[in-house]
Amino acid sequence: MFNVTSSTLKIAWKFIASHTLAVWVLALITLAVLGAGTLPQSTRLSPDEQEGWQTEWETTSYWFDTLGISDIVGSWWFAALCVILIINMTAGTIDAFLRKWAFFKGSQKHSHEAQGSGLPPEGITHFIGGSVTTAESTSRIRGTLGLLGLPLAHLGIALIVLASFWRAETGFNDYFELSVSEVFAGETSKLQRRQPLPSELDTLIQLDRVNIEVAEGDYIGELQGFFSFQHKDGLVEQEMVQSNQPLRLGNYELHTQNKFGHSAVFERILPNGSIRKLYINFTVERSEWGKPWSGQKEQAVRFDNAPLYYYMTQTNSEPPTFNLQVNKGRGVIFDGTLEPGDVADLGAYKLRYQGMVPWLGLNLALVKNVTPIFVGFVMTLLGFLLHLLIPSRRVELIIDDKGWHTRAWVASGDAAFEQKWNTWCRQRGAETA
Amino acid sequence: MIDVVTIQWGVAIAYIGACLFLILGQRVEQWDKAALLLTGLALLTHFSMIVVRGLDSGQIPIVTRYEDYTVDAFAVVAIYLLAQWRWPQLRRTGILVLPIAALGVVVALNYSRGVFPMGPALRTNWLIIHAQLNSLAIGFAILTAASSFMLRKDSSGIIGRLMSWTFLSWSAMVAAGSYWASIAWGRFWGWDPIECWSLATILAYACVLHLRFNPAWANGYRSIFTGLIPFGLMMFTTYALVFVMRSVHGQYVFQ
Repeated sequence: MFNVTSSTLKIAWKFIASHTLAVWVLALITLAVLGAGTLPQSTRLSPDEQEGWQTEWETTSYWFDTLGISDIVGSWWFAALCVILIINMTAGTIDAFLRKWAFFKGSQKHSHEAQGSGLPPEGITHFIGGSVTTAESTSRIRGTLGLLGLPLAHLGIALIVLASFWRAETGFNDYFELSVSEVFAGETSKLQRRQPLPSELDTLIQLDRVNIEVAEGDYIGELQGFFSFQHKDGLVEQEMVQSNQPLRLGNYELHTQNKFGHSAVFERILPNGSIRKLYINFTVERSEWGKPWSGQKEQAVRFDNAPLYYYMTQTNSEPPTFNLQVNKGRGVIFDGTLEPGDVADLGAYKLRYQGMVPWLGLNLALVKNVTPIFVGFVMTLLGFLLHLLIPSRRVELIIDDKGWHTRAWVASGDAAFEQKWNTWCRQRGAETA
Repeated sequence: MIDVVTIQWGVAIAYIGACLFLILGQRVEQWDKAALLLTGLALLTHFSMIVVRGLDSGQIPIVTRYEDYTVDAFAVVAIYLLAQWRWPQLRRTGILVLPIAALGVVVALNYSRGVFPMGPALRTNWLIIHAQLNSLAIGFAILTAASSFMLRKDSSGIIGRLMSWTFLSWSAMVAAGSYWASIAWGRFWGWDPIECWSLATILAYACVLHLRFNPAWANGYRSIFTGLIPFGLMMFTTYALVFVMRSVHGQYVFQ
């Protein structure tokens, strides 16, 4: 059996509540966050980029995965550091508050002391709150509200951390690209990270048109998407979405991104006669937007898990041409120029080229449980502001036959009080201790 | 009519001149007063330049890198003047702070002074709040760093206070950005490189502020060295990160 004495508990509490632990945990979290912002992270890479990283850096990526470095902020050890931080913060705040309270109540040793004969310095009597002429002892605490500042700030930080973990479990945000006349119904394959939606998107989203203006110097003047939305009950609505003005769709929100381009639209005609749309998106430089445009792209297009490799070139000629070469393994199964309406026979299916349309980058977000995070931000900032603007100070003045004697309880580093104190003491030629 | 470049050079030279006066002021106090007067006049000119730029472009002048450097340099000097008025011990830090501001004003001239329309994503009051808090934090950070080099050992309290204001304004900047991101992108945080480095700056400042509770780390070389770590992170995040790493913020900042 362990013999847990009160002194052991005291030592443990002292360590848990210590600044030393705070410094170490903060330093480690800082390094972890810098790593998360600098090293390749699986959460930031698209599946293609992830595949590329794992192929090119096989050993490194293996060790990154093994040690949890490929998703630092999602790793168990990062969560553990955050838990230790919260424990340390809570214990440290309680400990510091109790000590400060005891300090300002005068049950601990004062930080400043002075004495003299005759009348006490004017500043001190003013601080005490009036003229003190007869033999008496008066004390006054100012800035009690300031004592609450750091506890409030730390509580806010704990709230931000906890609410962020909660939000990470329940929230959703992913990027997708939608072409004009394409319909999105929440398909995972359209999303960049290909994560399933946490709840059903009970609205069909169709992009009708875009309004993108690129000003001289490649600056985006306007970027708007005009959409049709069909709700579950069949109701169709039309709305415009633009930056900072998302559209609410049930639990979800639709946001625009500063990304756009041209999409090659095909009809894939399957052997059974059914037709499916295929959109292949080309990124367009801002400087080329709205002008006759040329671009190249290579893309593996999967059908029944068998990839075909498309090599495409859109040429800025008159009329514009779309060159398509399709390879299966090492063999070329189609190589030709397509105009809208032309059909390419790829064996497994036929491909009818329909032309180019614009596409727009969008974010689909599940808006849930974010309020506690912003409440946490406000608490943290307000708490720290209180701490900085309202310094807590206690001054005691004793007057007797011999003269006056004053003591003060002030936090270390209170430069403003230090200045005042020096002025007060100089005023009366006091002896300071 | 005097053009903007001449005025901007004039402001930079005035800051350097004020710095020289402060150096002379170490022996004759009158030079200090001249330095502050010159700094005040230059700051007023600097501010007028920003106002005229805003009126000319019809938008808040924090869109381009030229505007960003100019506003940051203004914040550095404004905070220096206010802080030395509050704590006269800080006056001498102008010897470091003013040349940095002058450098900012001159470096700004290397970037295009053209007026560019504000992208749709930037047409929100959150840009003003976010960007101004950023400039404020940079102003405090530069003053803190300069103070840790130039102040005497007994001024550790002032350095801690300035560092706290740096921490607060940078944290408020990140919080404002986070709220804006939740409106613009539907997420308050995305662990993007700029977001990570900004958070690391907050954490590093928090770490150093806690470290300063230990008197051995609140003064001397240790204090200077540890204080420079978050400062370096902040400068890198603000001025260099978008050049070396792909970030979702890169497509919006400094058009």
